[in-house]
This record gives sequence, C-alpha cells and structure tokens, in this order.
Amino acid sequence: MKQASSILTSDELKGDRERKRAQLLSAIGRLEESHEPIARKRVALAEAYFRLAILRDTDPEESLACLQKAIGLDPFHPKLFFHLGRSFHRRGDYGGAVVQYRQALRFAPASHRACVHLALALLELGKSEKEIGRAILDALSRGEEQKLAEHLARLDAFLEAQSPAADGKATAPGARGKSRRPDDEKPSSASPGDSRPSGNATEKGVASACRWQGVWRVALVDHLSGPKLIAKQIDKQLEAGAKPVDGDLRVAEYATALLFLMLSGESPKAIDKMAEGPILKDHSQHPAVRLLRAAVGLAQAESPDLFIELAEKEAADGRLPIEMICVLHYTIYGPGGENPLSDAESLKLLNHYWPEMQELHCFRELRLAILDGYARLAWRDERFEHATLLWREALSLDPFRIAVAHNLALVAARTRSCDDYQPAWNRAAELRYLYAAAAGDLQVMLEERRVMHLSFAQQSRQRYCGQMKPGEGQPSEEALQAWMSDREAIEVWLREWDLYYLNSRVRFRSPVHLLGVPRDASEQAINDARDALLHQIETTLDQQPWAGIKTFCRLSEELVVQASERARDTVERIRDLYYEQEKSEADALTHELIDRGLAWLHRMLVLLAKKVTETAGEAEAASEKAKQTKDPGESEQAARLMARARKVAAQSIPVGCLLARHLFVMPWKLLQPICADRGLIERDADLVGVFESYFIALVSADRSEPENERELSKRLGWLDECQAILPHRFELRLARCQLLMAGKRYDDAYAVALATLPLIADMEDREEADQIENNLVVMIENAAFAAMPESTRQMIEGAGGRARPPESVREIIKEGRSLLERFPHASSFRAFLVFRMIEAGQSKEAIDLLKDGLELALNEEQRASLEKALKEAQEHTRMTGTLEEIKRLLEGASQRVNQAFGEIQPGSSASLQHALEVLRGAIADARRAKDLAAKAGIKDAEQQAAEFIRQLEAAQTKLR
Amino acid sequence: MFIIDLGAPSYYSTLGLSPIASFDEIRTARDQMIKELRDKQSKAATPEEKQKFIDRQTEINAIGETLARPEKRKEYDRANAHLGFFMVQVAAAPLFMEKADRMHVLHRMIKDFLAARGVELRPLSDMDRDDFSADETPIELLDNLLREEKP
Repeated sequence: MKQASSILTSDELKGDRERKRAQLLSAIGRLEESHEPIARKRVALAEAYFRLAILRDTDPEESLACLQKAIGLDPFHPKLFFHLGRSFHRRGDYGGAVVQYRQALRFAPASHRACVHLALALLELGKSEKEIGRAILDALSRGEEQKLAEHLARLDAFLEAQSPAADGKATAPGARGKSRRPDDEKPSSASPGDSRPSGNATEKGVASACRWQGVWRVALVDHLSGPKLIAKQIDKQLEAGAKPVDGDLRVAEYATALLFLMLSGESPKAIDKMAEGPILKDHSQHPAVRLLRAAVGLAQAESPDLFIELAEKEAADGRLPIEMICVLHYTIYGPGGENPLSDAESLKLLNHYWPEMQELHCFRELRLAILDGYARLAWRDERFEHATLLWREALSLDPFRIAVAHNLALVAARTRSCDDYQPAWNRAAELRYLYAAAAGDLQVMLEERRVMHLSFAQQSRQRYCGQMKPGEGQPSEEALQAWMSDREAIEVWLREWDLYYLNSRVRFRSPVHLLGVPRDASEQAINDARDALLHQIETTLDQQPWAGIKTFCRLSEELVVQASERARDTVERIRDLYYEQEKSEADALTHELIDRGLAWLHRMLVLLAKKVTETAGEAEAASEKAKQTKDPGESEQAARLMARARKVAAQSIPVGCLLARHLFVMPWKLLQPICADRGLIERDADLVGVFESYFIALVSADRSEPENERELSKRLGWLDECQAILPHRFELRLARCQLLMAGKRYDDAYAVALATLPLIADMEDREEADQIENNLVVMIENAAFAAMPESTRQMIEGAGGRARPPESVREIIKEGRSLLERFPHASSFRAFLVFRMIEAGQSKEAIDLLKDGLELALNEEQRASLEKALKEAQEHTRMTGTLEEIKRLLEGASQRVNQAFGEIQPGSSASLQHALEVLRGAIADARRAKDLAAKAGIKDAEQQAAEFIRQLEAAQTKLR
Repeated sequence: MFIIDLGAPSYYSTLGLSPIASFDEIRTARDQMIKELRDKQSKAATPEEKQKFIDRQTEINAIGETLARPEKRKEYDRANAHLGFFMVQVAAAPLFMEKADRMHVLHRMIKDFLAARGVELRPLSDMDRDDFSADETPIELLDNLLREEKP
C-alpha cells in the first residue's frame, strides 16, 4: 500500500511554487531579451510559458493566456494543445476542449491520454457527441486502434458539419506537424503506471491494451452515470480493472468502482459477493475495502432506524465518510429512493440522527435535497400549497439558494398570488446579482441573469404580440395599442430588456464588443459608448432595490471604464483575442438594440402621438364647429370628443414618457451610422430629432382647457416628466406656459415664460429660437390681459365706442396698475393702461410708466412698440393742451362777446364802443385759436375758429 | 399586476413536451401526434372536420420542422427563452441528483478520505489532478536559466 507522505508543509509548498513562478517569470524576461537563435529561443520560451501555465496557483485566465502564448511560439507541440484543452475543460467550455484535444491528437495520434480526455469532454456535450465519446472510450478499452481512428474521423466530420473554423480557436483542419512522442507516454514519477505503455505495439488490425490505464474507470463511471446499466459492459470494465499493472493490484480503485456500482443501483448483496472475489478478499483491512464493506452493510440495513444506528457506528469508527452516509440515505429513503417514505416520515427520520451529524453541512444538504425532492413532486401533482411549504422550509436552511427562491417565485406565478409574486421574484433576481457582487465577478450567474431578464421581457411582449418567429415582421397596430394600454406589462418589458442588454454587454471579453463600438472606433465614439453604458447602469441597474446592487453597479462601471481604456489602446485593439470569436454575438446584440429602438420603441411612440393628435384634432374641430353653429347637438358632440381626447391623452402620455425614457438613453450617436450602413435610414437623417419631434407632438397635442385643478396638476406633471427627458427642447416649456394659461394660472405662465427666454439664446437653430421667443413674449403679453378681472373687462367693453364714465376709468386704471405690478414685462398691457391714464388726464404719470416700460422691454419689438406708444402719448398730451387752449380762447371770446352785446343800450355809443372793443379782442383770440389749430393740424378746430371769426367780423360790421 | 403566464402555449406544449426534451422525444411526439391525427382524419364525418385535421397536421409538421432541427430549435429557444427559464429548478446539491456529478463528488470525497488514512487513490483523469510537473520537457537553455535563478 502506497503511503502518501508530505515532506513539506502546505506553506512551504506554496512558497516553493511562488519561487518557481518568480524564476519562470525572470527566465521569460531574460529569454525575450536574449540574442539566442530564434528557434532555440522560441522553444525555450514556449516551455517557460507552459510551465507557468501548469503551476498550481496560476490563475485560470493567466494559464489560458500563457498556453496561447506558448502555442504562438511553438505551434506544433501536442502537450500545449492538450493542456489548453484541459483549461477549457476545467472552465466548462467543453466544445473548446474538444477542439484542442483533437488538435493535440493530430500532432500525437498515439496519445491515449488525449483520447480519454477528448472522450470525457464529448460526454459533456450533446447526444451525438456523447455517442462518439462513448465509442472512443469503448475502442480504447478494447484496444481497437482502427476503430479509434474511425471514431476520430467521425468526430472530425461532425465538427466540420457543426461549425466551420469561425470561432478563432485552433481547428487546424488537416494541419499536420511533426508528430512527437506523446508526453503522457514518458515514464514519470508523478503518475506512475497509468501513463506507462503496456501491451504489444500497435499493429494494424491487432488490438492492443490502452496506454491510459485508468480508461476502465472513466468508462465505468460514464456508464454508471447513464440511465441504463448493461451488465456485460460493467463486467468488461471490472475485468479490465481487475488486471494488475506492473504487479500492482489496484485495490483502492477496484473497491471504489464497486462502491460506485452499488450507488448506481446494483444490489448490495451482489456487491458484497464481488467484494469476496480474488481481488479484494485478501485485503479486508485495506481502508478502501473497509469503506466498501461498511457501505454495503449500511445499504442492507433492515429498517431506517437500524440504518441510522449503524451509520453512527461506522462514522464513529472512521470506516465511512459522512457524505457517503448522506448519499446512501438519499438513494434509499429519499423521494424516488429504493424504500421511499412519505415526505413527513422522511423529514421526521432525519431528526433521528445523532446531534453532531445534524450540525454538519452535508447533512443540511441532505435535508434540503429531501425537501426539494418532495416539493418538486408536489409541484408536479399541482399541490402548490404543499410545495410552497416545503420550499419555504428549504429556504430556511439556505436563504441564498437561488433554485429555491426561483421555485417559490414560480409557485407564486402559478397560483397568481399577488401578495407573494413581486417579493418572490425580487428575491430570485436579487440573489443572482448578490452572488456576482459577493464574488466580485460579474461573470458569476451572468447567463442566468441574462436569460431571466430576457424571459420576462419576452413574456410581456408575447402576451399581446404573440410568439414572434425569427425573421417575422412587426405585430399589428391593434396588438401594440393593446399592449401599451397595459402599463405594467410595458414597464416590465422596458425594464427587463434593458437589464438583459446590460448583462449581455458585460459578458463580452473583447473591449470593443463590450462597449458596442466598431474596431476602428474613434476616441470620441469610445467615450460616447462608455458614457451611454454608464448612464444606463445608473438609470436602470442602480435603481433596483436589491441587496448588493451598489457593489454590482460599481463592478460594472469599473469594467466599462477599463474596457474603454483598453479600447483606446491601439495595440490592445489589434491583439484583441476575443474580437473575432465574439463578433457574431456582438453584431446580433447591436442588431437587437437597433430593432428595439426603431421597430419597437419608436413605432410605439409614433402610434401614441398619432392617436393623441388625431383625437385632439377631432375634438378641437368639433368645438370650433359648435361655437360657430351654436347647435346644442354639435356642442354635445364636441364635449364627447373632448372627453375622449382627454382620456386618450391621459392614457397615452405617461406611457409615451416611459417609452421615451428608454428610447433616448440608447446610444444613438453610435447606432445611427450602423442603421445607415444597414440601409434602415438615410445617411443624413437626424434620427434623434425625429424621435424628439414625435414625442413633443405627443405631449403638446392636447391644448384644451383643463377641466379642474387636478387635471391641470396631472398634465403639468407629465410635462415635468417630458422636460426631464428632453431638457433642451424649449417647445415643452412653451407647452407648459400654454397649459398654465389654459388653466388660468397666469402668474405661473408668465414666470415660466420669463424664465425660459434667457435660455433661448443657447439654441443653435436661430429661426426656431426666434419663433419660440415670439411665442413666449406673446404669452407674457397675454398673461396680463387674461388676468384682468371680469368686472374690469366689462367696464372696458361695456363703453363700446362711447366715452367711459370717469369712475370706470379710475377703476380700470387702479386694476391696471395692480396687474402691471404682477406682469411688469407685458408691454402691450402697459400701453393699454397708459392710454386709459391719458384718458383720465394722467398724462405725466402715463409717460413715466412708458419710460419705465422701455427699461423692461424683452425684445426689439416690445421696445419699438413702447417707443411708438411713448411718442403717441407725448403727442396726445401736447394735442390735448392745444385743444384746451383753443377752447379757452374761443369760449372766452364767445362769453365776452355775448356779455358785451347784452350790455348794449340803444342810443348809447359808449356801450357800442365797448362792444366793438370786445369784438376786436374776441376776433384776436379767435385768430389766435385758429392759428393754434392750424399749427397743430386740428382741422375741425381750425374751421370752427374760422367760422367764429367770420361770425365776429360780421357782427363787427353790423355794429359799425 | 403583470404576472407571468406559465401556461402560455408554445411549440413544446403543443407537442406535450418539456422545453428540455431531447430531439428523439420531439420526433417521437410529433410522429405520434401525426399518426393520431391521420386516424381521426380518416374517420372524419364531414369534409370540414377532415380539413380541420389536415390543418392541424400541417401545424404539427411545421412545429416539428422547427424543433427537430438543431439550428431552428436554437433560434426558437432563443426567441422564447422564457420557456426554459420558467421551469422548476433542482435545488438539491449535485451530490444528490445527477449521477455523473455524484460520482465525481464522491470520488473526490473518497480520495480525501483514503488519503487521510494513508492510501492514494489515483485520479480518474487529469481533471482531478493539479500537478503536471511530469509534463515538463527538459530544455537546456531554459533549465540553465532557471538554475541560475535559484538562490
């Protein structure tokens, strides 16, 4: 019996490995700088990288990279491909492993070691590959080289049919290098026996023993793992195992093989008998044989309690490991076992184990396995409450067991339990992120996360749009409308697809594919891609309420930033190992992204915009018609259409905002050229501009007056949301002003318009900027007029063309001043007020008001309008003074003349002279008045004065 | 509340299969269904009923055409990932479930158990080893450098 001894402690061994690593790294450095002949240098470097790769503590990624470097230096060495295959094999990339093992065999066709491992990798793949793998093992066991060659040829044909060499890995069809002596046939002290050739040299058609001595165990384990046990095959393997190698009976291996046989369903009695055979009978004290006997004895226990009693004894005596006891218990007494119990009995039985056993991790797994097994049976039988109970108990054993959380969430879905559904799925999702966060590795559970999010997104979409066959066209408008009316379903689709997309991106190892940029992307494009992804992580991932999500986000952000740095490095981009390998997947993901943006999000937004615009337009037209015709029927119809338009807007705008949020975070700067390349859009199209137009049309279509304060608040809330999405689009602010005006919140409308004006200066499109500016100024003007109280308005309108009573004018002025304090920039209103003041004889104050207004003018139009008003006011003031003077002169003259003529006494020359004197004075005044009128251009007054002069002159003539 | 629909129809449910059914199972189920439909078709009382069975056969054939071909099935599964995802998962440790996994886990466990008792159990394959120093090839140039590096 070989003694396993440890000369060095584990720390010392670790130190030894570290030293070896350091030596190798130093040697590599020196070799690379050396001036040795190229061939010698390459071979030595390849070997150095190889030794570094196979060191125990070398990180798997580094090991892979070292082996690939070694292959680059020495591309015909079979062991390099073999170990590369082993690396792939270890990380679960069985397809990759097969390719490398096969390549190793091309260079070392006689290597049974490579054959065995090739077979092992094939056994992990699909049915066809498994068949070939088993055939290879069988041929190896029988020593049939010819058959082995045929199976390898079959494998080659199969691989050729599956995938032409597009995955960047070594496929080397027909590549032939110098065939070397396989390293596994070199005598070695590390693994004696198994790798030593035995038997006769291979001749064509003559069977020879397999040079990999462990093949019988591999073949046996594979067979025992299958669904059906074939006695003949088993016997054959055991027969092979029974043969001594170099005189050494493999007692431990043989005993273990029998143990596996029993665990695969062979009866303990039969195993007991085999253990009495010639191989083991003389080795009853061998620990492996004692282990076997203990297991057989336990398996034959007559009752569960006896089983437990015996198990305790064997464990205490050190003859049986705990794990074996647990496995035996499960296979005998677990669900689907040889002596199955009910779930209650099975769980009760577990409590009969000794206390120390119940504390062990393996026992906890046994309990969990039993709970899970019975829960799955309950699920199958649609006993959902019972399944829930059992899984909840399983969860108490391991709160982080993803499969249990997942199953509980499925039960909640199956039973449509609203209380349990959301928390259960939150937990199932949370755990998938938590594992990655805890491991500090985004790749952990990545595929599950991707599929989970994609599944939810697909479920939502298919609920309304049906199952989409690949390459099928778009769903109908009705289907999309129905889907959009289910707000929750849309939210699920939007959120889950974005999460699926993020996880799909971080999956890529190539930095350009991770970012979603072409290989020759500019630095700007790389930065844009990085920023888009970081933004998406922040808006999508970071918002999730899951434990560990902050850590996950941080890891994602670091990865994205690193990828952008690597993508900027030209050398690294050229050397990108994964670029070709991942290209088709990356392209497919980009295509999906574009499809989502253009064919789904945008299309849905357009549908919503059209619907809202149409219904709002219909309502507006009906209202206009009703106003004109004053027909009650038309009014009723208009009211109905208005209510419908409001309802449509209330349903559509929130959904539109949701869609827009997800549409606008997509990296359109990067996607637009790709869309153009694919012929989806014109090269000079402004995609984002188009999206924005539809979105703005959607939110600003409804111009109706809000029915009440609540509706106003709601619509303002939508506009806020829209503005948050497109803060640079001032049309939304204008729409906000219009809504506030319609809702009679004039001060707010005024304030928003005023606040927006300075921002217009930053707009690039000056024509559009001017238009918006004009609209805002009009809004500001209208706010003051609109805010006028009704009573004041009636005073203004009630006068018609007549002069207003003074008290009305005073009232109007008072109200006007108050409004002007609230809306100081409303220049038209100011002008209106000024003329009322002039009307009331407050010319000076009016002119001062106009001068104040000039300082507050918002634009040139306002300024020009105020200047004109000022001029007019000044002119009016001057005119008024002139008229008053003319009136005074004429009225005064008229009075004096009348008085003088009244005082004329017949025969009194004095009175006559006095009258003439007065007449002369009056004519002079009238002439003065006429001159004043002529100068001022007041024709009426001039004519009046002229007529008066004529009358006075006629009277003068008469008197004379 | 949006709740996923576990009973939504799919190609698999039409054939009465699980999404993880093997290709053989798919072909068998398809053939069985076609056979039953043909029987019904032959016994159909009216031309309309006959046509109904014919249409159904066309549908089943189309489904089989998709699911029985690896590439098409892959596309279908990709477009309907939820079918495979929303299935009950096994929560038990592999030791208790998969035969193959059990063998490998037990093998490792037995190896450690015996090693503690002074017995070496040879690894099943190189997947169970971590010492490959025997695979090193002596290269004079490299070995000389390494000797120089040794303290």
